[in-house]
Amino acid sequence: MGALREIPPWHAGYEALYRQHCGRVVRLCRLLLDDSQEAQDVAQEVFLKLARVSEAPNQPREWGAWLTRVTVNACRDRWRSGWWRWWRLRHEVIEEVDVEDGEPTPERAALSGEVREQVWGAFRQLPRRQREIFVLRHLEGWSTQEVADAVGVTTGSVKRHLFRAVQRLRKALGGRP
Amino acid sequence: MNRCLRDRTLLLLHEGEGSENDRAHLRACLRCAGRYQQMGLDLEVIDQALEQAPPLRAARRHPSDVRRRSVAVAVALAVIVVFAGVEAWRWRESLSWVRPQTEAGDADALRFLAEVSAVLSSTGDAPTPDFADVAAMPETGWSDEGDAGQLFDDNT
Repeated sequence: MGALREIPPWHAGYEALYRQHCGRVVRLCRLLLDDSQEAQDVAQEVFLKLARVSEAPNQPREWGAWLTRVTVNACRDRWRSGWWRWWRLRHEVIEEVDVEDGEPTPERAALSGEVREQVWGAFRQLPRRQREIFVLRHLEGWSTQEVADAVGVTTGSVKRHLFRAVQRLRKALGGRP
Repeated sequence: MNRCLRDRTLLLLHEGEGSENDRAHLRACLRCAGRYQQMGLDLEVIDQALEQAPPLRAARRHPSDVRRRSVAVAVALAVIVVFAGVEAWRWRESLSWVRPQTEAGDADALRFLAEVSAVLSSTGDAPTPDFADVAAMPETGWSDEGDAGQLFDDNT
């Protein structure tokens, strides 16, 4: 019977980061991939990378930003892979629904299913670039410059994509474009 | 008063950007303030909706999607069939360039063989063309009866 291995010193830091960012990373994956199962898989990949980097001597200063960047790249890789696109097109029907944790908040209860469908329907129609920029700039609260650096476009382009995304989403609500 | 702000400017202000002039206008203009407030409410609803799990996709494809895909497949098949037809026609055309004109060639060859056999089997009773002339016939491009008749006349 083998001896139990000692827990490495980096593990505590990794665990803290995992607890702090897990929900956010999964949510980010879900928004970018529009698939709950895939979101879980990609989030696991991201935290696997985090574990590897945690062991390495050179570590990033801002773990939150690093994780977001790695997540966006992982989702982009998954999106680009041909088999996943094929799988998505073939298996749209068998997507699972997440079970909400705990009691619904008043906001969630107030938001009708119809509105949620309209918003998600419009969100799914957004081009990948617009979706990424909307999520990073608006939902993640990154600055325009940070989004531009992460996505690899100019700040003007970020503003333009963000505006178009918001325009489409608002249009889906039935309001003014 | 300045002109009212564009939606894009309102969004920038909502995201914490935009110039001080724009902010001053927003404070002074009731119309822009209303639009700004509406935009904030819309974005709040959008955020709430996206915070929740995505709704199930439709269990069955929309009929218009099916129709669109069927039309696309039919068009693709038609293009393939037309392309294959054109290619086959071009291939046959190219063969006609490569292959020798067999009908005329065969007629010449048969005529030549007939003359040779006539020379070889001649008993001397009937007038026959000289063998050397017959052997030279295909190479001289002899093609019609008129030439043949003239050749025989000259020899006789």
